[in-house]
Amino acid sequence: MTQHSVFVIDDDQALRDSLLMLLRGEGIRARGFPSATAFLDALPEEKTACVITDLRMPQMEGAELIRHLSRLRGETWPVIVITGHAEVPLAVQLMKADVVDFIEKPFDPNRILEAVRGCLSALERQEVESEAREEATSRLASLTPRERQVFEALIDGKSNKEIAISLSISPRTVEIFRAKVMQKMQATSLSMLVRMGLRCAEV
Amino acid sequence: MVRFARTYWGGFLLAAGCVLVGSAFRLTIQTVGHVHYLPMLAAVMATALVAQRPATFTAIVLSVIADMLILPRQGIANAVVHAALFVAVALVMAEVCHRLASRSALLDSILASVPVVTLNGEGRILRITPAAADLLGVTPEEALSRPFSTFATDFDTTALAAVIEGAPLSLPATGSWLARRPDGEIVPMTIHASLLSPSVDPERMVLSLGDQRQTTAANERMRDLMNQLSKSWRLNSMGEMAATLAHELNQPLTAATVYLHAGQTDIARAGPLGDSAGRALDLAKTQLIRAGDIIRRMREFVSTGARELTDQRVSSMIEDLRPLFDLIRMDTGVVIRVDVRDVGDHVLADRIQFQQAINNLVRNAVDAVAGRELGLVRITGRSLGNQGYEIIVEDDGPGIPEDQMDRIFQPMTTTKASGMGLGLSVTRSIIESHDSVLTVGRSPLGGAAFSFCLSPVLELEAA
Repeated sequence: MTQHSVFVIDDDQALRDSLLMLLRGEGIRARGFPSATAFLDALPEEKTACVITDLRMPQMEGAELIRHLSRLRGETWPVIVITGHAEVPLAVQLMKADVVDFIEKPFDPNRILEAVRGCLSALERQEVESEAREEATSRLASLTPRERQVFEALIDGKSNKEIAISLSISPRTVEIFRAKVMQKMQATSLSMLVRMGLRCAEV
Repeated sequence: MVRFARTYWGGFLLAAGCVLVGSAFRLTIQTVGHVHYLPMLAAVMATALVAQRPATFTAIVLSVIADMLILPRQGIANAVVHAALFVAVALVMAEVCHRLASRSALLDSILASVPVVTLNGEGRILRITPAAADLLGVTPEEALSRPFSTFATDFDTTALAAVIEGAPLSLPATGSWLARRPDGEIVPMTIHASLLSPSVDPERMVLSLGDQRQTTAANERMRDLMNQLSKSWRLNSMGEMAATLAHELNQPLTAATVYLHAGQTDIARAGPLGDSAGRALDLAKTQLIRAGDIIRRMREFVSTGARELTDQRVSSMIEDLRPLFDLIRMDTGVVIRVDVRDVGDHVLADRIQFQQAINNLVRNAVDAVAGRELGLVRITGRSLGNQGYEIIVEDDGPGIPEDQMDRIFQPMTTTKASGMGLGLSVTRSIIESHDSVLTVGRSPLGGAAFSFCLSPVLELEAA
């Protein structure tokens, strides 16, 4: 499992430094950036990461950075906002733009640790999920066209008999295909096969 | 009677009467000697002073006929020469009299529309024009020969003496002259006094009065607006200062809290040995968070809170500010051009806050162009349909240097010698509380252009 990074963007040097110290002390990989533009200029390549950003910063405001990030990375880079100006309308607007948490300064350090941990575990869940999806997709790709047809019919909830009729083959042959599909998809039960089918359909 | 004589037919009657009287007079003094046409000349002039030209010509013709009837002439030549001479002289005199009469009529009608009174040496009213009587709330007849101080209590003997000495009339201690009308209303007015030449005795002075009611009302409205603006400015700038202070203090407070927490984590690894130090750090952290809460409460206390946004018209809100713009123009010579369309200008706004924002932007723009020849500030307002109503305040000054663009909105930063650097940050807060964004750019006029867009109030669908 990969170790996710946390990026801290704040123009206040002490605040940035203290947050990095806090996160690293908890064993979380963290990097700091002095401004939104510095961050975007040297945009890290991580596929998934958690971003902590201030709102009021010179050059580029936090709100604008969040819009950029949401376009570039979407859900894979959850954003936590820390701000001294907890304006309600702005908060509502940001929540709509996929900001997962909104923390007013000064905050209890536990509060931000909780938020970061929440983000990281969500990312991990996402990763497990997406790995499983990739796995299922690659297994699915190994099926022959005939096996694929049987697989589709199975997850549609059709019985062997129905499949035999619709594919104009004998129920016995369906049995054989079904066993092959189960084997190739590494599914131990029909319900597991259906779950994999749903996962692939999401893509 | 004079009024009747001024009518068309009355004039003819007057002419006939005057000629009759002239002829009678001439007949009575005929025993003394020949007076020829002289009494008739008086009759023509009397007619000319009152009546119109046709009546005057009638008087001349009648005079000639009467003369012929009264006095038999020696020969036709004599009669014709006398008559011709009379007609010529009479025409000239009649014209002079007409001109005099029309001049005096013109003067009368001009004076009637101007509030003027004349006073004698004791300050009693000798003449009063209808306009003056109207201002004082009396009829001209009622006012005659009453002391002027009855109507303007502050116009006392000292004021009177000052006028008689030819000194300028100074305002009373109350700051303005007040007319006390019999109906109880008190009307502010101006008084200009001047001394008359001794030849028109007993009239000593003439006072020309001015109605100040409308000016006073306009001044009061403007004073109200300025009061409201300066009050909201005080609140806004206090709120902005508090917000700035809160923001600036929150940064180090937060950093300290987080450092302490990180330290605590490290100490916890040292095991039971670090317990007591860890507790002390915990207490310190609690206090820092408490300080943050105090700052937050203070900020919430001074900030005006959720603003009440109601349906307002941009054109009307900006129209209110015109007297202020006029004042600025008088003070600085900067022309403020307002081009705000009133189509689709219903927006959601807090009236006085909006005016505060516009006022701030205009003053900034004026400061940017002040001292330049032909400084120009332009306020433009346009409806962008469903997207809202856009307002731009721009100037033809030097503009904002690129490297300062980022800093201009930050509180406590200023490029001016005077000022706290709160104007733009207050303005931005106001615009943001209207769910909008204040943006700055370059104006086609050459200077800076500040613009924002307010959400429109959509016409309610007919149910």
